[in-house]
Amino acid sequence: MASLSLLPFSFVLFLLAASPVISTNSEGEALHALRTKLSDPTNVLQSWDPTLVNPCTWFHVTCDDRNRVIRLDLGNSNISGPLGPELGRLQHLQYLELYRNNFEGKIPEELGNLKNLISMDLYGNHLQGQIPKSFGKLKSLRFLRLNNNKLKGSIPRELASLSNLKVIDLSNNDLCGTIPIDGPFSTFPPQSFENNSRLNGPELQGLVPYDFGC
Amino acid sequence: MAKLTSSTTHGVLLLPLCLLLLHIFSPALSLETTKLRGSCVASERDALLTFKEGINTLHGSLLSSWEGQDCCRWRGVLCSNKTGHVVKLDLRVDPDEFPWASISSNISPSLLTLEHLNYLDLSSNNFGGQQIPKFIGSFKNLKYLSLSDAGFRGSVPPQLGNLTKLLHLDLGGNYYLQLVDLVAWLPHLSSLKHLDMSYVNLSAAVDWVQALSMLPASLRILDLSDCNLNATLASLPLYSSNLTSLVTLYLYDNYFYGPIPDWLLGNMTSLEELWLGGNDLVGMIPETMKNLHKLKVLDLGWNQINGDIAELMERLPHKIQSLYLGGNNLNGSLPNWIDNMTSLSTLDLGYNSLTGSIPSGMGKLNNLSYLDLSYNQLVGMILEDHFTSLTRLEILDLSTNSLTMGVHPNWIPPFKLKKVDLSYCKLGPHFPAWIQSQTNITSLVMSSAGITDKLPNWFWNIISQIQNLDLSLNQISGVLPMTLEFLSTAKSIILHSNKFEGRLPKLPMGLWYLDLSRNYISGPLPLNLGSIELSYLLLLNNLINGTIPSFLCNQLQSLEVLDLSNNHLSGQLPECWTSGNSFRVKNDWRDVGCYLVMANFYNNSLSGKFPLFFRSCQQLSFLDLSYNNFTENLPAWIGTRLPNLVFLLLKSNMFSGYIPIKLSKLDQLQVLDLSHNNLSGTIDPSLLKFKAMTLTSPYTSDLNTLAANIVESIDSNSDPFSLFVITKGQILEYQNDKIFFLLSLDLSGNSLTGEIPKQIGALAGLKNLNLSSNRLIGNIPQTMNGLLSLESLDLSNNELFGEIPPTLSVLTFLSHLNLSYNNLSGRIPSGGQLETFLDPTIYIGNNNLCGPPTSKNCSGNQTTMSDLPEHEDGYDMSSFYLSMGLGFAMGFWMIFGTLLFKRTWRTTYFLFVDDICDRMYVFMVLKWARLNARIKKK
Repeated sequence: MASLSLLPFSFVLFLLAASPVISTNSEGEALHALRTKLSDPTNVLQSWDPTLVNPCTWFHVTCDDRNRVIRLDLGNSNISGPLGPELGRLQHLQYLELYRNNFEGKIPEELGNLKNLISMDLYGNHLQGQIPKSFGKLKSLRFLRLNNNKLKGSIPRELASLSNLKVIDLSNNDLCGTIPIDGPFSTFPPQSFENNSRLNGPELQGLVPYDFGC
Repeated sequence: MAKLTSSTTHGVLLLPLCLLLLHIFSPALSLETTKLRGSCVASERDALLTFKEGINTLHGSLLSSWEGQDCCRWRGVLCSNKTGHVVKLDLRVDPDEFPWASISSNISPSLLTLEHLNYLDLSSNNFGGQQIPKFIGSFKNLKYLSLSDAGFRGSVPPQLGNLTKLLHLDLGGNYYLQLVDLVAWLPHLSSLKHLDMSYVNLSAAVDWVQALSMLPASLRILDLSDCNLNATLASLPLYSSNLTSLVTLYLYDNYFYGPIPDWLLGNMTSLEELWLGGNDLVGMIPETMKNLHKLKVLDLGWNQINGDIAELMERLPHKIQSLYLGGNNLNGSLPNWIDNMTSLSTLDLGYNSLTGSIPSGMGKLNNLSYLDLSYNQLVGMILEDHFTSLTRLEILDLSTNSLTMGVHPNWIPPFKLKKVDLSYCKLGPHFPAWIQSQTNITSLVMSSAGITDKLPNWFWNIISQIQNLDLSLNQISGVLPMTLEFLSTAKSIILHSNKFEGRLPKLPMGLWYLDLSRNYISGPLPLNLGSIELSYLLLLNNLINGTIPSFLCNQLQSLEVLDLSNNHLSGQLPECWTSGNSFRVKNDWRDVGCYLVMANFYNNSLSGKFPLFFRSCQQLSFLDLSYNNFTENLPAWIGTRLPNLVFLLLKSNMFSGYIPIKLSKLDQLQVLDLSHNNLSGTIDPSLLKFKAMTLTSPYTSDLNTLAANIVESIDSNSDPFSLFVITKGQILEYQNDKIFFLLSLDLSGNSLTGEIPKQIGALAGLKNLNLSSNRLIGNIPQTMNGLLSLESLDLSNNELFGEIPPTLSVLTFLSHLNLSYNNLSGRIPSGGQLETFLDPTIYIGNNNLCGPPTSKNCSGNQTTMSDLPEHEDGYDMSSFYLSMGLGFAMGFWMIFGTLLFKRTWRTTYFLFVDDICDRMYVFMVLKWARLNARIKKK
């Protein structure tokens, strides 16, 4: 009985054993590069050992069945430091959950490379600078929450082309200009944009430049 | 001399010097000749006997021979042939002769009667933490005093300063000596030639620099290794002092930092040995190093010396014989002119960043006996030329480079190696034939060497002196001999990941480490293993069948790690002591020898009850019986008899009955996997008290050190130790020390009934919780929000009902959730981490659940809302347009109004956009009208 039930199990084992030979550990290296610049007072990144064949047994990292990183769950972890451009190398990432930490600095342009990203939760950090225009490439994105940071600049019009975007929250930042009204933006509630003192309401296409007042 | 270090070379090098000193102090005397000489002075004999009384000779001592009248014939006692007075007392303990060194309650001052004593050696006795007695300062004639490795504690009496004739002082190896005021006595020893304070903590001696600067010019040997000295090398008073006779300077294993200043060694031109390894020195060695013409030994290993190796070697004096530079940051290639350095006998350049190929001139270093180039980035071929004249080579380590051995198959090397490590060198595909000539070999390591050959027949014959054999990670084939007993010196045999066949051989008597994992070992295990000292037996992933013979019981007295996983073993485990009476004869369970720390029987066909003999394995930290056919109840004694259990994996057996509540006493338990058995009954609330699972970072606490030590002790060349856990819907393999990060509770696939106890919320460290495929009822407890570390939660296939508690959304690390096939109802809570679970199948089979991500809309009142309002995505269209209109008006009037009323802005603006102003006006009016129309339509 036991041996029968083992058949699928051993097959998975075989896959597990065989796959590291094929795949390189570039995703593990990317995550490790990110880690080296972070301060992690509560040791949530303790298990991130770059010598392992892949990062799939690292805590807060989830892989798919082909050992590709699909989730990074580090909400509420007391982490501080910059968001490294290395994150852009996690080609298969679907969920980037870094909310309620002390991440600082700019949001790297490279995050626009995460073509499979479904959810990006960076809210509740100290992020500065602009929302990267490259986010217009995140065609799978459904949730984008950048609220409660220190983001400046205007809302990139490229976001209006994200047809899957269901939820956006840019509130409590220092954004300026006007709010797009095209595409998914026709459905977003005003709460998504509140508490940006220099944000001047919906855009007046053709009438006023969208980044007027920035 | 207190040389407890791994660098036995130190001792070896000092030996001639000591012999020289002995020769000076005891002219033409030896123990043999004493016997022929006259009787001893009675008062001195009495004094010696009084001294003997204070020494515990219970476990044997050389003082046992102190009987009879003529004390000059006693062991360790030497009398002057002129006066008959005792002049020398050599009571050094040879640990091989007396492993239980005598413990003295006090050193009797009666010794002071020996006025003529000029030599006193009490080293390697155990004085059990006494202070060095003050009266030692009264032996005015003492020239030689050794108190090394003798367990002295406390401060050093300043009376030592009275020993002004002292030539040799050795206090080394007394770890607990408190040396505070060195200046008070050390400078008075004005005749000193040899001073050894190694392994004595000098960090509290603030005046050590001053004391060193006052050392006499006569000093030839100074040993301050491992003294906790923390300073720049530049602060050492070596240059300014008059230590012009210094021959040997030991400063290794301290905290000296910074560069080696070029003036440092100044006028120490007589220096022959300089030991600076294991400090934090940086930079390149100074050019002035070349001026130390007599320098033979330079040890700078395990510092942060950096720069080009060729440049460094150019700065070395020509006569250098031993060069220890391993564990630094040296780069560049070995210079071609290395063949000039013919004095070299030891060259240690391992663990650097050397590149390029090894120059063939290396083969001309005809004095070379030790060559270590391991862990560099060297490339290229190793040919016969590299060894042409290396007739004295005994130790060769070229491991972990990108080297290829390209010697001719018929090559007969000029050397007879004792130790060789060629791991990760390309030696294959054929088994290197030249090994056949290496009949003195004691350590042969050729792991990952690309050998795909059959093991030659001669192999077992030439390794008759082997202690350490490692041929792992090749594809070597061949049938193992029936017995390996002829390898009588073997300690460790590692052959994992090859293609060896045959049965498990009978093992050498003294073997303590055997790893034959991942081969094709078949047949049953032998009835008698042969080794009585075996601590590690790793046989995973072979084809071994049959039952586990009762040798296991005897072997439990030595075995610490037993891994038989992934074989075809069947039947019951031996009953060991239960059949005889010995199991219960003694009340003290520890008397029944079982030192197992890890036992892995994963994936065999073993059957029977939970093996009773584990009951005496108190040390057991890791037990994996998963994927076998064990039956009947889980015994309650697991919780009390195995208090060190960290990992208990019993998955996929046929254990039945209740989960014993006493398991909760396993304070260190991190992983409990009872899944896929026939367990029934409820999950008792008091079961869920596993202390280690309540801690959020057990790895950093002091728990499970026993298990951690044993994992670390598994040879780094051994097959990695693995633990498979189903979490996040996948099978993940955790290896080696990574298993300690895991905290998992898996009770899935049983017939457990009743509710999930609310106490489960206390397990704050738990990363994986799987209670799926049982018959659990009731609500999902609100307290689940206490599972702060949880990453994977599977409650599927139960009979849970009620609403999903919104508090689950606070579990910020949750990345896998499965609640399917229950009777849950109501709106799926949103917010936090729960919103990242978009796959509706995790809720499937709950007919009354509604809301995203399911396609079913919630009707009626929507009470279950998020506690995190910032993610609300319910909103109202009309208010959106209203605010949009207001926003527009605001925006419009902000622009237009400003331009209307602020003259300067207006002027500037119109100057810029005058020509498009009209078009904009038209646009504005149109937009305004359109928007108005839309609002009215609403």
